[in-house]
Amino acid sequence: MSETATSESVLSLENVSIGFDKGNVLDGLSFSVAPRETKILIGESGSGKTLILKLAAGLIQPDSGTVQMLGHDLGRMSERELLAFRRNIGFVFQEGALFDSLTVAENVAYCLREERVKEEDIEPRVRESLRFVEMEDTLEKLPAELSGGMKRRVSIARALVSRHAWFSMILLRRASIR
Amino acid sequence: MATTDPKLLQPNTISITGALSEGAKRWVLHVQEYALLSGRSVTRLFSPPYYVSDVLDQMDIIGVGSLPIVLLTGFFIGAVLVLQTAAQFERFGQTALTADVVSLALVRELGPSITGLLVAGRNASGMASELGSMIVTEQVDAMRAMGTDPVRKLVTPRMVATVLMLPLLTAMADFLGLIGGYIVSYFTLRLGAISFWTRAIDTLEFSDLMQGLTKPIIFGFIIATVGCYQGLTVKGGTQGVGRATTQAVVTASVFILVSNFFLTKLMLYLAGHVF
Repeated sequence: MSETATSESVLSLENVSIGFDKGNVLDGLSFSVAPRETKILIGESGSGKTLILKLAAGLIQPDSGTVQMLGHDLGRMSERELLAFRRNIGFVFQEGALFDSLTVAENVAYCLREERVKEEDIEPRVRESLRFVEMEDTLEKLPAELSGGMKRRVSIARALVSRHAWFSMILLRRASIR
Repeated sequence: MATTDPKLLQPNTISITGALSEGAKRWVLHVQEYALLSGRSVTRLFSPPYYVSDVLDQMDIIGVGSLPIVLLTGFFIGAVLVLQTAAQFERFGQTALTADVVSLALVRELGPSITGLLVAGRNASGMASELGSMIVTEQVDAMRAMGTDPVRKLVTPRMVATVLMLPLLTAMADFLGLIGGYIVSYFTLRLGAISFWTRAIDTLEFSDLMQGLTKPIIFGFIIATVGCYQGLTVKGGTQGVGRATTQAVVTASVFILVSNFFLTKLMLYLAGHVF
């Protein structure tokens, strides 16, 4: 994958390399995503798809190269700045990554409570978000009571519930793509 | 004629210095990472947001949850101390000194150490397995992705709760130990309540109480930071969580026992020069 990033790119990776004990997983990767563009990453297991998304969210830093998101160079930001910046991004993990000790409603409301949204405003927004993914009837269930697909839908609702999250990255497993 | 590759004839040797150097580097890295995590858990106390409800939850889990085993153990430690010392003091006709020994040993040394070890066994392992499971299931990454600092949300509340609860648990263990000691000394030495409790309380000085209640603060910090560090550095899935849990208990226990020696030395020095 090699593309030139334009100044309007929402996300751009320039010559990104990262490796672990068994060698480089990504080697000189460059690509960009324009506003309203959808990019699908296809590759075999272990080829670095999840890694690219984690790099894009600043959850990990590359060994070399630059990652720019919404005009910010993530490599130059401190962890404190990154934490504040990530509130603008919705991130759906492969297996949902729901907090297993919280109910579905509490999981979706998590971001809102972190943003100190008034309690009376939280419930309608949680219901609205869960209705969008057709999971409104699971409000009081724990993640352990949900199937894999349901967990991912709740995770999508959690990513979209924050109104700051106007840019979303959604990672879907092959089985979920129809 | 076919020739053999000379590289194949060389024995497959492992460089001892290389292995030692790698081991030392890994050890230094662990120390550095642990020190950084411990430091961050403290610095997060001085800036918002604060997770007060998480601190209260942890105080309930660590304090109230550990209370039964700490009380039971404290009682029997006090009781067995009397059994062990009574015979010695009887030989000199100084059975009343049993109260002094039980009181000093419990408040200065056994109360803090035993309570620390029990809470390490119960809570350092719990913290390591809980945070380790969160790492394995990407819940910590999800937290970071939603803009929450995991150190602030997960480590600092556990550290604060353990540091606050351990001195209280130690005080309870000391008290139950004295009750255990009194009951056994009443039945074995026929020591009266007034005689036992007067000696047990009068023998304690301010420096003894300082020693007995300062140590648990340090031990609490060790238990929480070691448990959280082991949990947050889990590698290798559920097997890794198991390893981290064991490692958390072993490391916290060793740290408690080693630091106890140096703390005792420091406290004795302070008792002689300050208090």
